[in-house]
Amino acid sequence: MNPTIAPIFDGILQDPNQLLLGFVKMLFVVGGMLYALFALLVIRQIQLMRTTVHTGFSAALMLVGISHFLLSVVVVIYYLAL
Amino acid sequence: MPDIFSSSSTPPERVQIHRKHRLAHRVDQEGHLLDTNGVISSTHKSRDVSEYSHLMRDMETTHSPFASFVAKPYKLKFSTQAPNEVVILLLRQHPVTQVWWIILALLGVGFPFLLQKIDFFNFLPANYQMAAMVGWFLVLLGFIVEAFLKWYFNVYIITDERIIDVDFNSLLFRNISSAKIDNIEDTTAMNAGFLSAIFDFGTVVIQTAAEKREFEFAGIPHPSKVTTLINDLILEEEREKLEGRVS
Repeated sequence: MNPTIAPIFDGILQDPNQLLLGFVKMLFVVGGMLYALFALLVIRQIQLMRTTVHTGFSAALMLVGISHFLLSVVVVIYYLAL
Repeated sequence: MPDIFSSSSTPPERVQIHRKHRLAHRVDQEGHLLDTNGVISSTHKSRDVSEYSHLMRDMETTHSPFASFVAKPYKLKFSTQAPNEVVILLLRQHPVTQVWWIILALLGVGFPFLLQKIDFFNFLPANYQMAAMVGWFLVLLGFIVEAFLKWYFNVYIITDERIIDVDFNSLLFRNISSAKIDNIEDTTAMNAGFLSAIFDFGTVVIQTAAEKREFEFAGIPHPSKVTTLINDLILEEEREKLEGRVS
C-alpha cells in the first residue's frame, strides 16, 4: 500500500466512526457541488428573465444571483475543509 | 350600445379635437398621414391612454419595483415589444397569494433549531452539525430566491396594442403568449373566497380569437379594474379603425 495513504486507512480501520464521517463529508461536498451547479443555473435563469422582462430592479436581481452562487462556492470550500 | 356608436354621448370638446385633427392631416398617395407641412405624421397614430381611459387618468406612474399592480410602468421593457408599443399595465400575482412560501420559509428557519433541541444530530461531531445547518440554510435560501423570481417575472402585461402572458414554469422554461386587443372577444373578472374579497384580488379570464383561445390572469389585484381597462382599450381600437388611425 502507498505509504502516504496507509495511515489514513489504518485510522479508519482502527476507528469505524472515521469511515462514517468520511462518508458524511463526501455527501456534504457532493451536495454542495450540486447546489453550486443549481446556483449557476439560477444566474442563467435571471439572465433569461431579464431579457424577457426588463425592469429597473433587474440589475439588482442579477447581483442577488451572483452573490447566491458565490455563497454556494464558499460553502463547498467550507465542506472540503471539514 | 357602446359610446363610440352614439354621437350624442360623445363630449363636444372631443369632437372638436377630432375635427381639428382631420383638418390638419392629409393622406399621401401611399396612405401615410401627413401633417400641415406635408411630412409623414407621427402624432396622429395613437392617443395616450389617459385621453380615453378614466381609470388610467386617475392613476399615477407606479415606481415601486415590488408592486403587483403597476400602472404606466417606469423603465419597463419586454423582449417582444414593438418600437411604438406603450406598456399601460403590468400585473403580478397579489402578494397574499405568495404567503404560503413565506410561511414555509419561516418554518424552515426554525426547523434545524427544533432538531437541535431534540438532539437529533448528536451522533455527529459539532463541526459536522454546523455544516448540516449551513447546508440547510443554503437550500432554504435557494427556495426563497426561486419562489421570489417566479413571482417577480411571471407577469401579465397590457399594452396599447396587446395583452401578453409571460410564464416561467420551471428553471429554464419560458412561455410568452400574446393576443392583439382587437382579437379580444370577452373578458370575465372573478373574485372567489374570503381572502379574495378582503384583499380584492382574483382572476381575469380573457377569451380571444387569437391562436391561444383563452388567457387567464390568475391571482391578480383589482380584477374589475383590469377588465375596465381592457374594455377601454377595445373601444379605443374600434375608434382608431373608424377614424382611420390604425397603426
